[in-house]
Amino acid sequence: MKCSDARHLIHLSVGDDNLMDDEQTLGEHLHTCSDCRSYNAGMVDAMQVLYDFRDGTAMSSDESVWASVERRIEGRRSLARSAQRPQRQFQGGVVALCACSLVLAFVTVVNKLPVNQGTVDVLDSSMAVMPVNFNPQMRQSHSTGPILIQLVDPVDGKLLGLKNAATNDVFLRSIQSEPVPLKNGLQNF
Amino acid sequence: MAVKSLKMNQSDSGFCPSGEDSDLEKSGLPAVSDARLVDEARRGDTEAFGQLVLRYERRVIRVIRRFMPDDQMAQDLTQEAFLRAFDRLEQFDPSRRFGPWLFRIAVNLTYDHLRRVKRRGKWALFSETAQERTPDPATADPRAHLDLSQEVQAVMADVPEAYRTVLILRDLEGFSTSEVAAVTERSEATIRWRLAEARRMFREVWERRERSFEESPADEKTDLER
Repeated sequence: MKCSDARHLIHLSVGDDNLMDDEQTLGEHLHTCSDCRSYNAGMVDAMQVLYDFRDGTAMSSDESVWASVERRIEGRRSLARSAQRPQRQFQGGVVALCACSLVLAFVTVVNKLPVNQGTVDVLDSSMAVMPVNFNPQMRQSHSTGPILIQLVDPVDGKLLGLKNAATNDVFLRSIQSEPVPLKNGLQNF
Repeated sequence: MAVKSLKMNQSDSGFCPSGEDSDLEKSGLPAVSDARLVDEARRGDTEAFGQLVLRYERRVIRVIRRFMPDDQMAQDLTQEAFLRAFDRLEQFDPSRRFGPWLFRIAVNLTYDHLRRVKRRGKWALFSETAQERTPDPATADPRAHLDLSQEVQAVMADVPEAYRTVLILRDLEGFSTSEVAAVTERSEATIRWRLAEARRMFREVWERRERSFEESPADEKTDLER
């Protein structure tokens, strides 16, 4: 047996951790090797220090930790319970908020719808109505055209459009700033 | 705390390495297996877990105390270890022993704490606290005032973690190699090898320290003679 192997076994032997065969082999080696015997003695001394330390240090406190552990477990449980409670409740606030949002959206949509003010009551539903950008100056340059009747708002007197007396076609005034090309050759009116 | 007595005649198959009786066993109450208590604790029975705490707390405190000299901190870490065990009961494999699992949690927590302290110490190198800690050359070597336990603890601190754990569990706390293997989740062969190395390291560090103590007074004396 090599001394390096023997020393490994010495480290185990001092704590009685060797297998029986190993212990026997080590004993034989120690019998013949003085270096390893000396090493073994040093190892026994070192282990004695460790054992003295083990036997000399005792716990100073006999107080059980269970009371504290139990308190902390209970504390966590109650915390978890309180954290879970609101999740089970009916979320009235959320529902109210949703309802308000829906109402607001509905009002917004309704406000944006075109309003029929009932001012163009002269129009017949059977008439062909086409959008036109009415420009009063155009009338002077086409004085020999068809007879056009002005359609005026009875409330504020604003010009709403023109009506062709011959064909009963109605041309409503457009809100666009640029003239809109008309269908059926009516650009000349 | 009133721990309910469970009417069971099953012997305790728990992990009590040194054969130290728990308070319950001392009081004459019938021993309930760890597995049964763990099972009940997993179903929300806090008192069953309480029995496990009473069964193991002294051993856990002692083991943690071996890693650090501070009694109060050892108590706090013991509480923390049991709380962590309680939180992780669902992860515990019931086919295995509860004791090694619990001690593993305790040892890991202790090392986490020691690493935090060490890191804090490193940062303190740049703080005022570090300046306060700088030894005054006019005063004598503070190591001269250390008693045996402090010296051994200082030596143990120089042994690497993996070896220190084996040394503490086996040589200071009397765990068998198979129990140490269960706590550290290593094979017994590995533990035996580590144990041999740990003892060698301890011896080397101890002897180096002793030599340095022996040399220091001699140096001082020579200086005085001069």
